[in-house]
Amino acid sequence: MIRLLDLLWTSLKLRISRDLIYGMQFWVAFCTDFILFFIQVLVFYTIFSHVTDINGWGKYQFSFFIGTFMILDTLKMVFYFFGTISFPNYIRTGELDVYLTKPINPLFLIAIQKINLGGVLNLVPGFLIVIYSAIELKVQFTLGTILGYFFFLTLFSFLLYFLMLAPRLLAFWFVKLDFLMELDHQLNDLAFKVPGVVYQGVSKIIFYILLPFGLVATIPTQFATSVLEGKYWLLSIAVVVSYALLIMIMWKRGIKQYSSASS
Amino acid sequence: MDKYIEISKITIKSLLIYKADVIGTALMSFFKVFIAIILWSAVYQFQTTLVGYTLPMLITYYIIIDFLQKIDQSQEFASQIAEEIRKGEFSKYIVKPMNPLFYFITVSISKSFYRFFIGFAMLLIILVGVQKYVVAPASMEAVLWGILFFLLGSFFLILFNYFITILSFYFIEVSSLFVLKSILLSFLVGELIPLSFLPNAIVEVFRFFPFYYVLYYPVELYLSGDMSHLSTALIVSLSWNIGFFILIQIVYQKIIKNYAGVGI
Repeated sequence: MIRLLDLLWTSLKLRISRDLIYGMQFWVAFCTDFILFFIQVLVFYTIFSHVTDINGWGKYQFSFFIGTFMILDTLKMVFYFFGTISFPNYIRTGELDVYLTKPINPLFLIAIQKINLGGVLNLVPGFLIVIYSAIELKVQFTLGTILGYFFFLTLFSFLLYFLMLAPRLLAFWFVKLDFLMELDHQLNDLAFKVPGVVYQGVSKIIFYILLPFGLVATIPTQFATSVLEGKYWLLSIAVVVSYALLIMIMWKRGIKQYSSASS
Repeated sequence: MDKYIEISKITIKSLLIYKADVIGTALMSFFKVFIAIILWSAVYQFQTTLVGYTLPMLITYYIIIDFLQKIDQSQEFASQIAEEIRKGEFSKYIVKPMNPLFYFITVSISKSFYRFFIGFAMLLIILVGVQKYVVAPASMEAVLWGILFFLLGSFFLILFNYFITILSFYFIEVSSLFVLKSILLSFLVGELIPLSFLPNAIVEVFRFFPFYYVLYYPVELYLSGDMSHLSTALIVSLSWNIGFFILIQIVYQKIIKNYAGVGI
Protein backbone atom coordinates (compact mmCIF):
# COMPACT_ATOMS: atom_id res chain seq x y z
CA MET A 1 0.00 0.00 0.00
CA ILE A 2 2.82 2.38 0.93
CA ARG A 3 4.54 1.49 -2.33
CA LEU A 4 1.41 2.33 -4.29
CA LEU A 5 1.04 5.66 -2.52
CA ASP A 6 4.71 6.39 -3.12
CA LEU A 7 4.26 5.65 -6.81
CA LEU A 8 1.15 7.85 -6.92
CA TRP A 9 3.09 10.71 -5.32
CA THR A 10 5.98 10.31 -7.81
CA SER A 11 3.53 10.25 -10.71
CA LEU A 12 1.92 13.43 -9.39
CA LYS A 13 5.27 15.22 -9.16
CA LEU A 14 6.17 14.23 -12.71
CA ARG A 15 2.81 15.40 -14.01
CA ILE A 16 3.14 18.73 -12.22
CA SER A 17 6.53 19.25 -13.89
CA ARG A 18 5.10 18.36 -17.28
CA ASP A 19 1.98 20.48 -16.88
CA LEU A 20 4.05 23.49 -15.90
CA ILE A 21 5.83 23.23 -19.27
CA TYR A 22 2.55 23.23 -21.17
CA GLY A 23 0.72 25.74 -18.99
CA MET A 24 -1.95 26.40 -21.61
CA GLN A 25 -2.94 22.71 -21.62
CA PHE A 26 -3.54 22.88 -17.87
CA TRP A 27 -5.95 25.81 -18.20
CA VAL A 28 -7.69 24.41 -21.27
CA ALA A 29 -8.40 21.16 -19.40
CA PHE A 30 -9.81 23.14 -16.47
CA CYS A 31 -11.96 25.35 -18.73
CA THR A 32 -13.29 22.39 -20.70
CA ASP A 33 -14.44 20.54 -17.58
CA PHE A 34 -15.77 23.70 -15.98
CA ILE A 35 -17.85 24.60 -19.04
CA LEU A 36 -19.24 21.06 -19.21
CA PHE A 37 -20.46 21.26 -15.62
CA PHE A 38 -21.66 24.82 -16.04
CA ILE A 39 -23.80 23.80 -19.01
CA GLN A 40 -25.26 20.87 -17.08
CA VAL A 41 -26.15 23.15 -14.18
CA LEU A 42 -27.65 25.60 -16.68
CA VAL A 43 -29.80 22.83 -18.22
CA PHE A 44 -31.18 21.81 -14.84
CA TYR A 45 -31.84 25.36 -13.75
CA THR A 46 -33.65 25.92 -17.05
CA ILE A 47 -35.84 22.88 -16.41
CA PHE A 48 -36.51 24.01 -12.84
CA SER A 49 -37.57 27.43 -14.05
CA HIS A 50 -40.62 25.60 -15.44
CA VAL A 51 -41.24 22.89 -12.78
CA THR A 52 -41.03 22.73 -8.98
CA ASP A 53 -39.97 19.13 -8.40
CA ILE A 54 -39.14 15.92 -10.20
CA ASN A 55 -40.12 12.70 -8.42
CA GLY A 56 -39.97 14.39 -5.02
CA TRP A 57 -36.63 16.06 -5.63
CA GLY A 58 -36.59 19.84 -5.75
CA LYS A 59 -34.09 22.26 -7.23
CA TYR A 60 -31.62 21.98 -4.37
CA GLN A 61 -31.59 18.18 -4.25
CA PHE A 62 -30.79 18.27 -7.96
CA SER A 63 -28.06 20.85 -7.53
CA PHE A 64 -26.59 18.83 -4.62
CA PHE A 65 -26.68 15.80 -6.94
CA ILE A 66 -24.95 17.73 -9.73
CA GLY A 67 -22.32 19.11 -7.34
CA THR A 68 -21.65 15.58 -6.06
CA PHE A 69 -21.33 14.26 -9.58
CA MET A 70 -18.97 17.13 -10.43
CA ILE A 71 -16.72 16.08 -7.56
CA LEU A 72 -16.80 12.40 -8.57
CA ASP A 73 -16.24 13.19 -12.22
CA THR A 74 -13.38 15.56 -11.40
CA LEU A 75 -11.67 12.88 -9.31
CA LYS A 76 -12.10 10.50 -12.24
CA MET A 77 -10.72 12.97 -14.79
CA VAL A 78 -7.81 13.89 -12.55
CA PHE A 79 -6.63 10.47 -11.40
CA TYR A 80 -7.43 7.72 -13.87
CA PHE A 81 -9.48 8.77 -16.90
CA PHE A 82 -6.67 9.62 -19.33
CA GLY A 83 -4.63 6.61 -18.27
CA THR A 84 -7.47 4.09 -18.46
CA ILE A 85 -8.94 5.39 -21.72
CA SER A 86 -5.85 4.23 -23.63
CA PHE A 87 -6.07 0.70 -22.24
CA PRO A 88 -7.58 -0.96 -25.36
CA ASN A 89 -4.81 0.61 -27.43
CA TYR A 90 -2.10 -0.91 -25.22
CA ILE A 91 -3.61 -4.35 -25.74
CA ARG A 92 -3.89 -3.92 -29.51
CA THR A 93 -0.38 -2.55 -29.97
CA GLY A 94 1.34 -4.78 -27.41
CA GLU A 95 2.37 -1.83 -25.25
CA LEU A 96 0.76 -3.61 -22.32
CA ASP A 97 3.95 -5.71 -22.12
CA VAL A 98 5.80 -2.74 -20.64
CA TYR A 99 3.31 -2.50 -17.77
CA LEU A 100 3.20 -6.26 -17.18
CA THR A 101 6.95 -6.38 -16.65
CA LYS A 102 6.93 -3.71 -13.94
CA PRO A 103 6.93 -4.88 -10.28
CA ILE A 104 3.64 -3.13 -9.56
CA ASN A 105 -0.03 -3.76 -10.35
CA PRO A 106 -0.37 -2.99 -14.10
CA LEU A 107 -3.92 -1.64 -13.78
CA PHE A 108 -2.85 0.82 -11.10
CA LEU A 109 0.18 1.89 -13.12
CA ILE A 110 -1.86 2.45 -16.29
CA ALA A 111 -4.53 4.37 -14.37
CA ILE A 112 -2.18 6.88 -12.74
CA GLN A 113 0.34 7.41 -15.52
CA LYS A 114 -1.59 10.34 -17.02
CA ILE A 115 -2.81 12.19 -13.98
CA ASN A 116 -4.46 15.38 -15.19
CA LEU A 117 -4.00 18.18 -12.74
CA GLY A 118 -5.85 20.65 -14.93
CA GLY A 119 -9.11 19.28 -13.62
CA VAL A 120 -8.33 19.63 -9.91
CA LEU A 121 -9.67 23.16 -9.76
CA ASN A 122 -13.11 21.85 -10.71
CA LEU A 123 -13.36 20.37 -7.23
CA VAL A 124 -13.89 23.91 -6.00
CA PRO A 125 -17.15 24.69 -7.87
CA GLY A 126 -18.30 21.12 -7.15
CA PHE A 127 -17.88 21.59 -3.40
CA LEU A 128 -19.31 25.10 -3.54
CA ILE A 129 -22.48 23.82 -5.23
CA VAL A 130 -22.74 20.98 -2.68
CA ILE A 131 -22.27 23.33 0.28
CA TYR A 132 -24.70 25.94 -1.09
CA SER A 133 -27.33 23.25 -1.76
CA ALA A 134 -26.75 21.70 1.66
CA ILE A 135 -27.36 25.08 3.32
CA GLU A 136 -30.57 25.60 1.34
CA LEU A 137 -31.71 22.06 2.25
CA LYS A 138 -30.82 22.72 5.91
CA VAL A 139 -28.52 19.71 6.05
CA GLN A 140 -26.96 19.10 9.47
CA PHE A 141 -23.18 19.40 9.11
CA THR A 142 -22.26 16.81 11.74
CA LEU A 143 -18.98 14.86 11.74
CA GLY A 144 -20.97 11.73 10.89
CA THR A 145 -22.59 13.39 7.87
CA ILE A 146 -19.30 14.68 6.54
CA LEU A 147 -17.42 11.41 7.08
CA GLY A 148 -20.28 9.42 5.61
CA TYR A 149 -20.42 11.70 2.57
CA PHE A 150 -16.67 11.30 1.97
CA PHE A 151 -17.01 7.55 2.47
CA PHE A 152 -19.56 7.40 -0.33
CA LEU A 153 -17.45 9.68 -2.54
CA THR A 154 -14.53 7.27 -2.12
CA LEU A 155 -16.71 4.20 -2.65
CA PHE A 156 -18.26 5.55 -5.83
CA SER A 157 -14.95 6.84 -7.16
CA PHE A 158 -13.85 3.21 -7.16
CA LEU A 159 -17.14 2.17 -8.73
CA LEU A 160 -16.74 4.71 -11.56
CA TYR A 161 -13.23 3.36 -12.16
CA PHE A 162 -14.53 -0.23 -12.36
CA LEU A 163 -17.36 0.86 -14.66
CA MET A 164 -14.88 2.61 -16.93
CA LEU A 165 -12.42 -0.27 -16.94
CA ALA A 166 -14.88 -3.14 -17.49
CA PRO A 167 -15.77 -2.41 -21.17
CA ARG A 168 -12.13 -1.62 -21.93
CA LEU A 169 -10.96 -5.00 -20.64
CA LEU A 170 -13.05 -6.49 -23.47
CA ALA A 171 -10.22 -5.35 -25.74
CA PHE A 172 -8.53 -8.63 -24.80
CA TRP A 173 -11.20 -10.35 -26.89
CA PHE A 174 -12.43 -7.78 -29.44
CA VAL A 175 -10.51 -5.66 -31.95
CA LYS A 176 -12.82 -2.66 -32.27
CA LEU A 177 -14.81 -1.36 -29.34
CA ASP A 178 -15.94 2.07 -30.48
CA PHE A 179 -19.61 1.36 -29.87
CA LEU A 180 -18.86 0.14 -26.33
CA MET A 181 -16.93 3.34 -25.70
CA GLU A 182 -19.95 5.24 -26.97
CA LEU A 183 -22.15 3.21 -24.59
CA ASP A 184 -19.78 4.02 -21.73
CA HIS A 185 -19.99 7.70 -22.62
CA GLN A 186 -23.80 7.53 -22.77
CA LEU A 187 -23.99 5.79 -19.41
CA ASN A 188 -21.80 8.45 -17.83
CA ASP A 189 -24.05 11.03 -19.39
CA LEU A 190 -26.99 9.20 -17.86
CA ALA A 191 -25.39 9.24 -14.42
CA PHE A 192 -24.87 12.97 -14.75
CA LYS A 193 -28.37 13.83 -15.91
CA VAL A 194 -30.68 11.32 -14.28
CA PRO A 195 -30.68 10.81 -10.52
CA GLY A 196 -31.57 7.32 -9.32
CA VAL A 197 -34.88 8.51 -7.79
CA VAL A 198 -36.29 8.79 -11.30
CA TYR A 199 -35.98 5.05 -11.99
CA GLN A 200 -38.80 2.65 -11.32
CA GLY A 201 -39.24 -1.11 -11.72
CA VAL A 202 -36.96 -2.79 -14.25
CA SER A 203 -34.98 0.37 -14.96
CA LYS A 204 -34.16 0.61 -11.25
CA ILE A 205 -32.77 -2.94 -11.23
CA ILE A 206 -30.71 -2.19 -14.33
CA PHE A 207 -29.26 1.12 -13.14
CA TYR A 208 -28.83 0.22 -9.49
CA ILE A 209 -27.38 -3.26 -9.84
CA LEU A 210 -26.35 -4.30 -13.36
CA LEU A 211 -25.08 -0.93 -14.60
CA PRO A 212 -25.05 0.95 -11.29
CA PHE A 213 -24.67 4.46 -12.71
CA GLY A 214 -27.92 5.32 -10.94
CA LEU A 215 -26.23 4.92 -7.55
CA VAL A 216 -23.17 7.06 -8.16
CA ALA A 217 -24.24 10.58 -7.16
CA THR A 218 -27.73 9.69 -5.90
CA ILE A 219 -26.71 7.73 -2.79
CA PRO A 220 -24.35 10.44 -1.41
CA THR A 221 -27.12 13.01 -2.01
CA GLN A 222 -29.72 10.90 -0.23
CA PHE A 223 -27.30 10.21 2.60
CA ALA A 224 -26.49 13.88 3.12
CA THR A 225 -30.18 14.83 3.06
CA SER A 226 -30.97 12.03 5.57
CA VAL A 227 -33.32 10.06 3.34
CA LEU A 228 -31.05 7.10 2.62
CA GLU A 229 -32.54 3.80 3.69
CA GLY A 230 -30.30 1.17 5.32
CA LYS A 231 -30.71 -1.31 2.47
CA TYR A 232 -29.02 1.12 0.07
CA TRP A 233 -25.91 1.19 2.26
CA LEU A 234 -25.65 -2.58 1.83
CA LEU A 235 -26.54 -2.40 -1.84
CA SER A 236 -23.86 0.21 -2.54
CA ILE A 237 -21.12 -1.80 -0.85
CA ALA A 238 -22.28 -5.07 -2.43
CA VAL A 239 -22.33 -3.55 -5.91
CA VAL A 240 -18.83 -2.07 -5.60
CA VAL A 241 -17.40 -5.33 -4.22
CA SER A 242 -19.11 -7.31 -7.01
CA TYR A 243 -17.66 -5.04 -9.66
CA ALA A 244 -14.21 -5.30 -8.09
CA LEU A 245 -14.48 -9.09 -8.34
CA LEU A 246 -15.71 -8.85 -11.92
CA ILE A 247 -12.71 -6.70 -12.87
CA MET A 248 -10.34 -9.20 -11.23
CA ILE A 249 -11.89 -12.10 -13.13
CA MET A 250 -11.88 -10.24 -16.46
CA TRP A 251 -8.28 -9.14 -15.97
CA LYS A 252 -7.03 -12.64 -15.06
CA ARG A 253 -8.83 -14.25 -17.99
CA GLY A 254 -7.76 -11.50 -20.36
CA ILE A 255 -4.10 -11.81 -19.37
CA LYS A 256 -4.17 -15.58 -19.89
CA GLN A 257 -5.05 -15.18 -23.51
CA TYR A 258 -3.06 -11.98 -24.16
CA SER A 259 -0.13 -12.55 -26.50
CA SER A 260 1.41 -9.13 -26.96
CA ALA A 261 0.96 -7.33 -30.30
CA SER A 262 -0.72 -10.33 -31.92
CA SER A 263 -3.73 -10.29 -29.54
CA MET B 1 -15.22 16.01 -59.99
CA ASP B 2 -14.36 12.36 -60.81
CA LYS B 3 -11.53 12.37 -58.23
CA TYR B 4 -13.92 13.47 -55.47
CA ILE B 5 -16.40 10.75 -56.45
CA GLU B 6 -13.57 8.20 -56.23
CA ILE B 7 -12.60 9.53 -52.79
CA SER B 8 -16.21 9.20 -51.74
CA LYS B 9 -16.36 5.55 -52.88
CA ILE B 10 -13.12 4.67 -51.07
CA THR B 11 -14.34 6.34 -47.87
CA ILE B 12 -17.59 4.38 -47.87
CA LYS B 13 -15.77 1.10 -48.62
CA SER B 14 -13.45 1.65 -45.66
CA LEU B 15 -16.44 2.29 -43.40
CA LEU B 16 -18.07 -0.97 -44.53
CA ILE B 17 -15.16 -2.98 -43.05
CA TYR B 18 -16.29 -2.47 -39.46
CA LYS B 19 -20.04 -2.76 -39.97
CA ALA B 20 -20.74 -4.19 -36.52
CA ASP B 21 -19.09 -1.26 -34.85
CA VAL B 22 -21.11 1.28 -36.84
CA ILE B 23 -24.33 -0.61 -36.18
CA GLY B 24 -23.44 -0.85 -32.49
CA THR B 25 -22.89 2.92 -32.35
CA ALA B 26 -26.21 3.47 -34.10
CA LEU B 27 -27.89 1.24 -31.49
CA MET B 28 -26.86 3.80 -28.90
CA SER B 29 -29.74 5.87 -30.24
CA PHE B 30 -32.08 3.55 -28.35
CA PHE B 31 -30.24 4.43 -25.23
CA LYS B 32 -30.53 8.16 -25.68
CA VAL B 33 -34.23 7.86 -26.37
CA PHE B 34 -34.55 5.68 -23.29
CA ILE B 35 -32.82 8.35 -21.15
CA ALA B 36 -35.10 11.03 -22.59
CA ILE B 37 -38.24 9.00 -21.86
CA ILE B 38 -37.19 8.25 -18.27
CA LEU B 39 -36.17 11.80 -17.41
CA TRP B 40 -38.99 13.65 -19.12
CA SER B 41 -41.69 11.23 -17.94
CA ALA B 42 -40.64 12.17 -14.42
CA VAL B 43 -40.72 15.89 -15.27
CA TYR B 44 -44.18 15.60 -16.84
CA GLN B 45 -45.61 13.69 -13.88
CA PHE B 46 -47.81 16.58 -12.78
CA GLN B 47 -48.28 18.53 -16.01
CA THR B 48 -49.28 17.90 -19.59
CA THR B 49 -47.33 20.70 -21.31
CA LEU B 50 -44.07 22.49 -20.71
CA VAL B 51 -43.19 25.58 -22.76
CA GLY B 52 -45.71 24.45 -25.35
CA TYR B 53 -44.31 20.90 -25.57
CA THR B 54 -46.32 17.84 -24.62
CA LEU B 55 -44.38 14.74 -23.54
CA PRO B 56 -44.78 13.05 -26.97
CA MET B 57 -43.59 16.23 -28.69
CA LEU B 58 -40.51 16.38 -26.47
CA ILE B 59 -39.66 12.70 -26.96
CA THR B 60 -40.12 13.12 -30.73
CA TYR B 61 -37.81 16.12 -30.47
CA TYR B 62 -35.07 14.03 -28.86
CA ILE B 63 -35.55 11.11 -31.26
CA ILE B 64 -35.09 13.35 -34.30
CA ILE B 65 -32.29 15.39 -32.70
CA ASP B 66 -30.37 12.20 -31.92
CA PHE B 67 -30.80 10.91 -35.49
CA LEU B 68 -29.71 14.20 -37.07
CA GLN B 69 -26.83 14.75 -34.65
CA LYS B 70 -25.23 11.41 -35.57
CA ILE B 71 -25.17 12.20 -39.27
CA ASP B 72 -22.35 14.78 -38.99
CA GLN B 73 -19.06 12.88 -38.96
CA SER B 74 -16.69 15.71 -39.80
CA GLN B 75 -15.20 16.12 -36.33
CA GLU B 76 -13.55 12.72 -36.21
CA PHE B 77 -11.87 13.29 -39.56
CA ALA B 78 -10.96 16.85 -38.54
CA SER B 79 -9.19 15.54 -35.41
CA GLN B 80 -7.25 13.10 -37.57
CA ILE B 81 -6.08 15.85 -39.95
CA ALA B 82 -5.21 18.11 -36.99
CA GLU B 83 -2.95 15.35 -35.68
CA GLU B 84 -1.35 14.98 -39.12
CA ILE B 85 -0.68 18.72 -39.26
CA ARG B 86 0.97 18.53 -35.86
CA LYS B 87 3.23 15.70 -37.06
CA GLY B 88 4.07 17.47 -40.31
CA GLU B 89 2.17 14.94 -42.41
CA PHE B 90 -0.20 17.45 -43.99
CA SER B 91 2.12 17.51 -47.00
CA LYS B 92 0.30 14.52 -48.51
CA TYR B 93 -2.80 16.70 -48.94
CA ILE B 94 -0.85 19.53 -50.55
CA VAL B 95 0.89 17.35 -53.15
CA LYS B 96 -2.36 15.69 -54.25
CA PRO B 97 -4.17 17.26 -57.23
CA MET B 98 -7.09 18.46 -55.15
CA ASN B 99 -8.06 21.20 -52.78
CA PRO B 100 -7.62 20.04 -49.14
CA LEU B 101 -10.86 21.74 -48.12
CA PHE B 102 -12.84 20.03 -50.89
CA TYR B 103 -11.19 16.73 -49.98
CA PHE B 104 -12.27 17.25 -46.38
CA ILE B 105 -15.82 18.13 -47.44
CA THR B 106 -16.00 15.06 -49.72
CA VAL B 107 -14.82 12.64 -47.05
CA SER B 108 -17.10 14.21 -44.41
CA ILE B 109 -20.15 14.04 -46.68
CA SER B 110 -19.35 10.41 -47.60
CA LYS B 111 -19.12 9.40 -43.94
CA SER B 112 -22.35 11.29 -43.22
CA PHE B 113 -24.06 9.57 -46.15
CA TYR B 114 -23.15 6.16 -44.74
CA ARG B 115 -24.24 7.11 -41.22
CA PHE B 116 -27.49 8.47 -42.58
CA PHE B 117 -28.57 5.08 -43.92
CA ILE B 118 -27.61 3.18 -40.76
CA GLY B 119 -29.20 5.87 -38.58
CA PHE B 120 -32.37 5.99 -40.68
CA ALA B 121 -32.90 2.25 -40.26
CA MET B 122 -32.51 2.66 -36.48
CA LEU B 123 -34.84 5.67 -36.54
CA LEU B 124 -37.60 3.64 -38.17
CA ILE B 125 -37.20 0.90 -35.56
CA ILE B 126 -37.32 3.46 -32.74
CA LEU B 127 -40.37 5.20 -34.19
CA VAL B 128 -42.22 1.87 -34.28
CA GLY B 129 -40.98 0.86 -30.83
CA VAL B 130 -42.03 4.05 -29.04
CA GLN B 131 -44.91 5.08 -31.30
CA LYS B 132 -47.03 6.29 -28.38
CA TYR B 133 -44.39 8.98 -27.82
CA VAL B 134 -44.14 10.02 -31.49
CA VAL B 135 -46.03 12.89 -33.12
CA ALA B 136 -46.56 13.37 -36.85
CA PRO B 137 -45.03 16.39 -38.60
CA ALA B 138 -47.06 19.61 -38.59
CA SER B 139 -46.77 19.87 -42.41
CA MET B 140 -44.72 18.32 -45.20
CA GLU B 141 -43.71 21.76 -46.47
CA ALA B 142 -42.21 22.53 -43.05
CA VAL B 143 -40.38 19.19 -43.10
CA LEU B 144 -38.85 19.98 -46.50
CA TRP B 145 -37.68 23.36 -45.23
CA GLY B 146 -36.33 21.60 -42.14
CA ILE B 147 -34.29 19.26 -44.33
CA LEU B 148 -32.86 22.23 -46.22
CA PHE B 149 -31.84 23.99 -43.01
CA PHE B 150 -30.34 20.79 -41.64
CA LEU B 151 -28.22 20.44 -44.80
CA LEU B 152 -27.09 24.06 -44.53
CA GLY B 153 -26.37 23.59 -40.82
CA SER B 154 -24.39 20.40 -41.44
CA PHE B 155 -22.35 22.10 -44.13
CA PHE B 156 -21.58 24.87 -41.68
CA LEU B 157 -20.40 22.29 -39.11
CA ILE B 158 -18.08 20.78 -41.72
CA LEU B 159 -16.58 24.22 -42.39
CA PHE B 160 -16.39 24.97 -38.67
CA ASN B 161 -14.54 21.72 -37.93
CA TYR B 162 -12.16 22.34 -40.81
CA PHE B 163 -11.46 25.82 -39.49
CA ILE B 164 -10.52 24.40 -36.08
CA THR B 165 -8.36 21.84 -37.88
CA ILE B 166 -6.30 24.45 -39.70
CA LEU B 167 -5.76 26.23 -36.38
CA SER B 168 -3.33 23.34 -35.77
CA PHE B 169 -0.92 25.32 -37.92
CA TYR B 170 -0.84 27.92 -35.14
CA PHE B 171 -1.40 25.85 -31.99
CA ILE B 172 0.43 22.67 -30.98
CA GLU B 173 -2.66 21.03 -29.53
CA VAL B 174 -6.22 21.55 -30.77
CA SER B 175 -7.82 18.36 -29.45
CA SER B 176 -8.99 20.30 -26.39
CA LEU B 177 -10.59 22.85 -28.73
CA PHE B 178 -12.56 20.05 -30.38
CA VAL B 179 -13.73 18.80 -26.99
CA LEU B 180 -14.69 22.33 -25.91
CA LYS B 181 -16.48 22.88 -29.20
CA SER B 182 -18.46 19.64 -28.80
CA ILE B 183 -19.54 20.57 -25.29
CA LEU B 184 -20.64 24.08 -26.27
CA LEU B 185 -22.28 22.91 -29.47
CA SER B 186 -24.35 20.27 -27.69
CA PHE B 187 -26.02 23.13 -25.81
CA LEU B 188 -26.12 25.71 -28.63
CA VAL B 189 -27.73 23.39 -31.20
CA GLY B 190 -30.46 22.29 -28.79
CA GLU B 191 -29.18 18.76 -28.26
CA LEU B 192 -29.40 18.92 -24.45
CA ILE B 193 -32.62 20.88 -24.16
CA PRO B 194 -34.92 22.64 -26.67
CA LEU B 195 -33.73 26.20 -27.07
CA SER B 196 -37.27 27.47 -26.55
CA PHE B 197 -36.87 26.50 -22.86
CA LEU B 198 -34.43 29.37 -22.51
CA PRO B 199 -35.57 32.96 -21.87
CA ASN B 200 -36.98 34.64 -24.99
CA ALA B 201 -34.28 37.30 -25.06
CA ILE B 202 -31.59 34.64 -25.32
CA VAL B 203 -33.47 32.74 -28.02
CA GLU B 204 -33.78 35.94 -30.07
CA VAL B 205 -29.99 36.41 -29.91
CA PHE B 206 -29.40 32.77 -30.87
CA ARG B 207 -31.43 33.31 -34.07
CA PHE B 208 -28.53 35.32 -35.50
CA PHE B 209 -26.06 32.50 -35.06
CA PRO B 210 -25.79 29.42 -37.27
CA PHE B 211 -25.99 26.89 -34.42
CA TYR B 212 -29.69 27.64 -33.91
CA TYR B 213 -30.39 26.29 -37.40
CA VAL B 214 -28.24 23.15 -37.27
CA LEU B 215 -30.58 20.88 -35.31
CA TYR B 216 -33.08 22.85 -33.22
CA TYR B 217 -34.75 24.86 -36.02
CA PRO B 218 -35.29 21.88 -38.40
CA VAL B 219 -36.88 19.85 -35.60
CA GLU B 220 -38.96 22.84 -34.49
CA LEU B 221 -40.28 23.15 -38.07
CA TYR B 222 -41.23 19.47 -37.96
CA LEU B 223 -43.09 19.84 -34.66
CA SER B 224 -44.73 23.26 -34.96
CA GLY B 225 -44.78 23.94 -38.71
CA ASP B 226 -44.09 27.60 -37.84
CA MET B 227 -42.50 29.11 -40.96
CA SER B 228 -42.77 32.75 -39.93
CA HIS B 229 -38.98 33.19 -39.59
CA LEU B 230 -38.00 31.39 -42.78
CA SER B 231 -36.48 34.37 -44.57
CA THR B 232 -34.36 35.37 -41.55
CA ALA B 233 -33.29 31.76 -41.12
CA LEU B 234 -32.28 31.46 -44.76
CA ILE B 235 -30.29 34.69 -44.73
CA VAL B 236 -28.49 33.82 -41.49
CA SER B 237 -27.66 30.23 -42.56
CA LEU B 238 -26.41 31.19 -46.01
CA SER B 239 -24.44 34.18 -44.71
CA TRP B 240 -22.57 32.14 -42.12
CA ASN B 241 -21.80 29.39 -44.63
CA ILE B 242 -20.47 31.82 -47.22
CA GLY B 243 -18.65 33.88 -44.60
CA PHE B 244 -16.88 30.87 -43.11
CA PHE B 245 -15.97 29.53 -46.53
CA ILE B 246 -14.27 32.82 -47.36
CA LEU B 247 -12.61 33.02 -43.94
CA ILE B 248 -11.13 29.54 -44.37
CA GLN B 249 -9.72 30.43 -47.79
CA ILE B 250 -8.09 33.59 -46.40
CA VAL B 251 -6.64 31.92 -43.30
CA TYR B 252 -5.43 28.88 -45.25
CA GLN B 253 -3.60 31.00 -47.85
CA LYS B 254 -1.78 32.85 -45.06
CA ILE B 255 -0.73 29.81 -43.07
CA ILE B 256 0.28 27.53 -45.93
CA LYS B 257 3.05 29.94 -46.88
CA ASN B 258 4.78 29.23 -43.54
CA TYR B 259 4.04 25.50 -43.44
CA ALA B 260 7.09 23.28 -42.92
CA GLY B 261 6.02 19.67 -43.22
CA VAL B 262 8.03 16.45 -43.41
CA GLY B 263 10.07 16.41 -46.60
CA ILE B 264 9.36 20.08 -47.43
